[in-house]
Amino acid sequence: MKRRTFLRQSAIASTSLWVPAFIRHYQSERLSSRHKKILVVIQWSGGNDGLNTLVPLGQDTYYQLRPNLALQGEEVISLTPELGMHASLAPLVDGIHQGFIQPVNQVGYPNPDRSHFRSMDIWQSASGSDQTWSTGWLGRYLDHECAACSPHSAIEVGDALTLALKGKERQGFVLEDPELLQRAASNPYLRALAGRPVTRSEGAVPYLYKVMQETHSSADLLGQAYRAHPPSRDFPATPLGKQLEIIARLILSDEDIHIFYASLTGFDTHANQKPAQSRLLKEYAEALQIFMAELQHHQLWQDTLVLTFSEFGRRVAENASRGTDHGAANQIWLAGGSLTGDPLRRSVPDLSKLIDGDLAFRTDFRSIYQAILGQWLATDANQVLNRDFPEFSLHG
Amino acid sequence: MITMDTTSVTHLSRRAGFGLTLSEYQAFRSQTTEQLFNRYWPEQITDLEEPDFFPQVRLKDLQDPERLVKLRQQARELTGRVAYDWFMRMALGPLETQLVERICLFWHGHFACRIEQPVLAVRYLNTLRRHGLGNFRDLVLNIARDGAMIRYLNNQQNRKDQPNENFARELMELFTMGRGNYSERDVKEAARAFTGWSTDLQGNYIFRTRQHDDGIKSFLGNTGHWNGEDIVDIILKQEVTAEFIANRIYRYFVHPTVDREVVSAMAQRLLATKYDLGDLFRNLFTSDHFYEPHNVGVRIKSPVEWLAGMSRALQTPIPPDQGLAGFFRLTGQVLFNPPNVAGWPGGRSWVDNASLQLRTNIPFLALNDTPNRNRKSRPWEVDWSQMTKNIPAGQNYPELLAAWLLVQSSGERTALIHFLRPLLHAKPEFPYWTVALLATPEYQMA
Repeated sequence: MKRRTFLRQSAIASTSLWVPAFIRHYQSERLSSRHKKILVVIQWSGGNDGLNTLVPLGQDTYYQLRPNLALQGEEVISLTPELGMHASLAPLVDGIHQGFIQPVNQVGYPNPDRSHFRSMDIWQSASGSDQTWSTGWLGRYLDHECAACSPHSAIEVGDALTLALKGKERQGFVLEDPELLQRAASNPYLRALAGRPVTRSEGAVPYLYKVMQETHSSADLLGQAYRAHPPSRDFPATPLGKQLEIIARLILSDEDIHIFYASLTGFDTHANQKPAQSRLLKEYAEALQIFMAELQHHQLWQDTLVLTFSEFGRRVAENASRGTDHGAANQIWLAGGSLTGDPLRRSVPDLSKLIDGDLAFRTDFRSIYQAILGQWLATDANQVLNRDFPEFSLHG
Repeated sequence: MITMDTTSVTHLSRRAGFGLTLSEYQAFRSQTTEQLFNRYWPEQITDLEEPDFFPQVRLKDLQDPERLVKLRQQARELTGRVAYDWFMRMALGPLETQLVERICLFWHGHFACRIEQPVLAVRYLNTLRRHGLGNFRDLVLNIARDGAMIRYLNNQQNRKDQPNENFARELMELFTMGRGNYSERDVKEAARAFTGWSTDLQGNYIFRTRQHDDGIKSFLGNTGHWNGEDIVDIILKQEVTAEFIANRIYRYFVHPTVDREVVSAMAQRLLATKYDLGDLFRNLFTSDHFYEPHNVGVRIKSPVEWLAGMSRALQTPIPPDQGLAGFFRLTGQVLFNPPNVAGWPGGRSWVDNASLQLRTNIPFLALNDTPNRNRKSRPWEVDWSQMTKNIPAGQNYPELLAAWLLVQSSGERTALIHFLRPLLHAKPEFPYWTVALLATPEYQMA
């Protein structure tokens, strides 16, 4: 173990959870590596049309099946002779060339389900399509790895906790906005009640008191931390821009917080897809680019991995309403300062072997979770996923 | 002075219904649990009236995405209305209908189904009302022929030449037997037997003879030209099925951790009575075991039962505004919209920082000077004078309120009141005490 790592870990070990953690970050901020790697998940809800996100430039099938929707001319940026990218993603071009942003195409699972709810369930719980699980993959990660973490070590920026972050024993912490959270925790009666000493330790009521108490402490701590870390640049004034700004500010506040969840919704483009998708991808790219720059500024980009996914892709053929219907395999996007290898090595979709008019999957999404859990978060992925999947590497 | 064991009465009211109003509590606290149970037991259960809205999707509409979106939205709104009406029956319905609503809520979690059409929601609910306290075989068969369920589990795509196993699998895994008690082969064979169990455009059940596979199937060791009904009969013959159902009922109504002996006796009773659910529930709610102290107050209320109970306690309808839809969404239980076919996992999964914070803040809507007024919700219009008019002068109402609203033993209640008293020092009136107790973690328990 390097001396610096050792010193940092012992410093953390000796710091109580309830000492405002945003104070101790001043010591650790300058170190090049955090004791826990950061994972940010961005969910594209509704089923993003992957084929108009990464465009298979050389493949006739794409143009034949999409007479109205195929991206043309200025709508597409050419990355390689075979691969184009939606022009709205232009802010990400530099990141791709630097190798920091790596899309992986044709990710999915066997017997794909075309229902939004069901397929989202499958992605969030990491179950097979013939299984119904009531816990999420990150929730089980918390169960397994985070028994001693602070109650807000995994944060979802949103209004209700998503299945992905629900474990059997532990849950993620959800907030729309740290200031709102603090306001909601300002009722003086409830604050006093939360402080009630609980005599028993077993049972549901003590558990509820504990959650209540932690919510108040976390609300104070996160609110203060948030205010103490204004961003060094302006984030876009979009919903995702706001979410990623909150994440960027909270990342700086506490080393214990290392899992984040954000989402962008509206991808269910059955009709008039072009303007809607264009707007969403622009929102995504602009927010991610600033987020990346902000973390680079704080030398945390090396320690960060961003996973973007959607519950399914869309059918290869367009429909009669200038939109697309629910499909199967799709792409995920990885972004982070530690990724290596040719960023586009897994990006070109193959339209020559469609299954039932859909892209086939080449990579099971759980192989990617397995890599993130094992290679990035350094936990035993099998404990979280309940089985082994074919290997996927974050490095090339 | 309260001298009777009122805990048993309130315990029953929280499990078989949604708690008592203050005047019901005052009337029943000196009676036996059997007297209350007899009030709960329904003389007859009436069907709900079907709304007349069913979106007529014409072929040309398929070319008109805006119209489709509008139809869907309309359907969703009206389904929300069906859900709201159901919620209000739980909250403010008379004692005589409480058990039925509660049983339906239980079966809705068991035969979990996402429903977007108001007519289908009402029919589904009518199936649960008719058979939820009747015979389990009728219940399962009617669920198998339920338009909403057929659509939800894709059985209209289950055809002879192209079987879809979704319904057959969930029937066995989640509705009757539980995982590990059948093979993949059994799932395939059961799916074949349910081919042709379909719906028409209006969601009415129809049997499509030409899509049905009439061939020989071998299912759980029985071979024959089985159809869906035969499959259900074979499933019900399995002891594991009776065990599975008894287990589900026990975990929901008695204790989240099962007592194996009791569950096994319940299963035997189901088998002996050919799955008479009414008999089972009556027996359960009148058994000594049900009232044992370690079974009292160990269940975290679901959001729907929590809010229905509060509305009932305050005798105040919760306005059907955006705020209400938000409570259910944010606390994780939207009727006709379970997270998946496994239903709501319940227990601690109801609790996260945001949902608990909402649950403890919401009772303050009952006070007009709430410091935490929810932006989207109007304050509730509680008639406090109506509530207090039957309280004798000089009554120690914090004790009364706690005994009525909370599951805890009298010693624990006294300790809580002792802790709360200084917090409420400036505002010791009845409404504040009521809200203070409704906002406690203790009130989350049933």
